[in-house]
Amino acid sequence: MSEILNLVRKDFILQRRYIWIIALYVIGFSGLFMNSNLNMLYGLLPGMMLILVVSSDMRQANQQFLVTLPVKRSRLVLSKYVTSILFVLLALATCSIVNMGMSLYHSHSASIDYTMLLASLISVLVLMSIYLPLYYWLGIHGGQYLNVAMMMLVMLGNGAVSGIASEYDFTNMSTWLNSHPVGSIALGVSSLLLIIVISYLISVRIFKGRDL
Amino acid sequence: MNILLSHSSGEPIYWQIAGQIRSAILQGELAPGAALPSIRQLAKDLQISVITTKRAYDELEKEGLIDSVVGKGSFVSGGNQEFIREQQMKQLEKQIRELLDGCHSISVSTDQLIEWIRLLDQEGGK
Amino acid sequence: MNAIEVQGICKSYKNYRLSDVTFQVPKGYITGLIGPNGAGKSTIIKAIMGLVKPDQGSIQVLGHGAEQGEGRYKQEIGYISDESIYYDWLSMEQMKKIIAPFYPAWDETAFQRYMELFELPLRKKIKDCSKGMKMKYAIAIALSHNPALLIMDEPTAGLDPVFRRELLELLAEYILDDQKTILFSTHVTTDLDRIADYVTFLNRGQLIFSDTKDGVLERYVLVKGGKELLDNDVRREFVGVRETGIGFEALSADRGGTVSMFGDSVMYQQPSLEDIMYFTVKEARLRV
Repeated sequence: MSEILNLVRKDFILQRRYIWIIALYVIGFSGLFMNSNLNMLYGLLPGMMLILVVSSDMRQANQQFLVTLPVKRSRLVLSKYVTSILFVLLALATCSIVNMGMSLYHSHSASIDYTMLLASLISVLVLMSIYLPLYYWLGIHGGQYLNVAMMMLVMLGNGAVSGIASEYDFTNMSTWLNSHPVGSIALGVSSLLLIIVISYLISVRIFKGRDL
Repeated sequence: MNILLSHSSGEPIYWQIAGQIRSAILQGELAPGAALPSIRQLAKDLQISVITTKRAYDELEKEGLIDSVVGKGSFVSGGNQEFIREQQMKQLEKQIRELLDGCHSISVSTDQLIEWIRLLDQEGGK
Repeated sequence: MNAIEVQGICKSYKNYRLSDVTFQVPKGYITGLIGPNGAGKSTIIKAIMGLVKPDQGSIQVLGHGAEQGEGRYKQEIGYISDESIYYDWLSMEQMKKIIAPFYPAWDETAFQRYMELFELPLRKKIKDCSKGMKMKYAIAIALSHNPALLIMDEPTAGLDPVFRRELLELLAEYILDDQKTILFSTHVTTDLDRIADYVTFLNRGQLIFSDTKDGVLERYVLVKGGKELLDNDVRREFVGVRETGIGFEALSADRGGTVSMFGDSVMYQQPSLEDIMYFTVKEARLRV
């Protein structure tokens, strides 16, 4: 367990160099200076953070470094999932705070766009579950192209997600949801977890067979 | 005791070490019971391999000049004064043989040599 | 007791392959893994570190199986790669903060002492360091968690002669403890061959020999003589021959046989490991 903590701590140390870029981005799109819609935050920030976290030790030399540490390869992969999820949550927390702050500023009542938050969380975690196995599979050289593709996907997906979130007829669904609150949450959470676990197992399998 | 190695002489390193420790013992520079540096310390100081150093010590142990005690190190053998005397004589004998060879090669007779030695001994005695 | 046991390792790449390499690294001694570039030294070391998965064979490190997914056994290893594997945009201090918690035996005082000894500024970014400084830093990191086994891939590459000597001194100090073991690979044999106890020689992915250095040096002899002594039968006696207009120079792997064959008609010399490497590699090239 402590090795996972040490690895997560490593990722936090590595992300320090992006902290100003992130801060500028958040401030820039907070809506304070321009009439920004929240898609730029909810839709993009978690995906961006995900890419930054994963690519920080994308270089082959750094992969070698990680493998020469006294840690199992499967743990290295696990830590990457843990950090990714942590950073996604951190990004969403940041978005929510900005969201709350701005609504307080505009309408004097703090509110959060829960639909946006949830849509973003689910889509980013699904994205992560596809992205990480691909990252371990493509390795160092393919990884760079993967990142570009990911960035584009995040941008396009951003529009799609917010589109779905705002336009989809939620009435039927919310009726169903309201009648089965526990069951639906359990179903949603467990299928999301299942996707992540399967993704993790695939990543471990791929990474264990990789020569560095 | 000093040990000075030559890496270009062609003489094996272990042999040089054994030779220099041997002469230090035979000349009485190292008294019986005196501790020798540990094998690993000596290897470090001479910047040579542990195995080479170990071989030099093994050689000396075989000759009965040193004793190795596991966990304590190596010491100059004490109980073998007779042997040491014998070794010293042997070494001297070797030098005399060399001297004789030298004399024969430039046609100096053994009698002349003995006379010569007496002469030098008297001079040296002054 | 062996610190490392490499058993029948095979690994195929596009351009070359390691075929059935078996050797041991005895505990308490320094073993040099020598061979020209591309001999497979790095691949073997990477396999020991679990970076590369052999197609066949097994590796035991300090009594543990060194399978590719495993991590535990690396606790006892100080590994020094031939290139910097660290996050080079970090400072040496930041990088150390990442590494230290992984090793329960981490000795911060020792680390600070090495940094001072090597004159490495903690605040300097790794990417701003010279190759030699990066190597020193890797050595400081490796020694600071007091490993039972030190594995170094081409440690002297990029080091100036002064520090090369200092490194020898450090290694000799480390090996004063007879429970510690060093394995290093190198293609420049001159500076480390003095302190190596054992030598493992690889060429083109194959093991040529693995033996005590003294044993190897005693077995081989360098012969110099006139060209008229050479004919095809004589040539076959040698590992390799270098002929010039004014004579020949040849390496034999059977000192006794060669001396009784030539008697006083040739000159004999003690070959260095480099001589042995040169003639062996040259001959292997001719045969291909």
